[in-house]
Amino acid sequence: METRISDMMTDLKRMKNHIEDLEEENSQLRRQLSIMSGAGVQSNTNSPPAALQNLVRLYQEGFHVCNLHFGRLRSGDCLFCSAFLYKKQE
Amino acid sequence: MQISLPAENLLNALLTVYRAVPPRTPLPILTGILFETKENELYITATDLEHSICTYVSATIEEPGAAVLPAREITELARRLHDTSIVKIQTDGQTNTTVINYAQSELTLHGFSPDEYPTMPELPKENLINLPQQQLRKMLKQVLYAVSTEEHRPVFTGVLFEFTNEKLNVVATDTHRLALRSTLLDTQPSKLINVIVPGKTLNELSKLLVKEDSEVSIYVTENQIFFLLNEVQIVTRLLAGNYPNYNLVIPQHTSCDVTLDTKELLEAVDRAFLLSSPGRQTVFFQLQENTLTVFLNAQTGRIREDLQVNITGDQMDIGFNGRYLMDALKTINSEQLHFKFTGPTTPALLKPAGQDEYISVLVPAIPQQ
Repeated sequence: METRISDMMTDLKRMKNHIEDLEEENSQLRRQLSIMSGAGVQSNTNSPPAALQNLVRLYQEGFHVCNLHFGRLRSGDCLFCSAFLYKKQE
Repeated sequence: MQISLPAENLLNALLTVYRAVPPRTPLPILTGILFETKENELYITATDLEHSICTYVSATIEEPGAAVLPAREITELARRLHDTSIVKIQTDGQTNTTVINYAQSELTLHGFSPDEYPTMPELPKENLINLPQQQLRKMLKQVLYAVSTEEHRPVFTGVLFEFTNEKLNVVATDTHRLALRSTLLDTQPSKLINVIVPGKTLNELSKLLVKEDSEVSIYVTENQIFFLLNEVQIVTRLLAGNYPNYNLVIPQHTSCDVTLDTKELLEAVDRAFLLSSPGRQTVFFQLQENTLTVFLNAQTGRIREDLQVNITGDQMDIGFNGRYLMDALKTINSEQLHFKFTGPTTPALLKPAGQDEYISVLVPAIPQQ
């Protein structure tokens, strides 16, 4: 019984550590997204190429920049984001 | 109800409608198949409430009526009977018990009350358009691979049917690739509409579009679409929502055009894809002078294949998800194809050489930072 409780405690500790890591990663990603979005708005008034660069960076970091799913995490490459960035580059 | 019919006819009808029986459902009645007599025909229906399939076969009707029989049991029994044997089906309307006689044998099935079975929606009076079955089948084959399977974005799990005065466009995209197939219409549709039809139903429909010289009639209501092909009727709900403006992702100007042999490229990508792993499915291309190099470096090894092609425009390095590229190449239906690139990170377009009615758009794979 003691061994089982000890094993369970070890598992619980490992899960707690994992959750902490995930929370840290999540808040870091939120910070990055917030910085990027802010930078995008700021530079929009000054220099369009910088705004485009920010959108490209956002996309490369794994977020949608298309009007369908803007700001959401993307799984794989998005045709609509890619076409939007291409149109902006044109 | 008391009827008799050849086992072969019963099996063909059951196999047609069985596609609509849900594999899992909280409603037990849907695990059944509805048998109904009308004049000298037996109508057989199955539904999962999203789409329904109904067909009819000639039968000797000794006593008209209806019954709902467990789908799996009746279909598997019909499979195991000799084609030539005559099956006699006799249902007691009070107990919903059906006795099936074949040869010298008898099987009893406990069914459901036909009154509880969902009713099929009524076919509208005016049809939208008639299309040759083979034409619709080819069109669907060229777009269905691009339908999304992710249920959280319902619009992308469907195919857009866009009717104009002169042509019908069918479009599918899962946001990673897009397929567009157009066809000129011989007759004008009765109304010009855009509808989104569930890809799952169209997959089933395409398997039933087998007759060479027959047509399929399409009927549309506010929220349903009917496909009528010979003795089979398929009805499905339309997907709600607006389909995104797909024209935005179709490149209008390209910076590099490559003309090459479809089979050669497909085989080269297929061989390169052997070295891919679940997280790394990108196959890379290097476009230089008149050579397209297909290569992939992976932990398991590396591959490099040079294809002699005709290149006009910029030289570039680009990568695509090998699975998506192969899906698109398999639907090209032409010996030669045009592969048009807009840049290493922006959409590329595939189309059969000398044909304008089909295009496939692919997004290049961009390595995540």
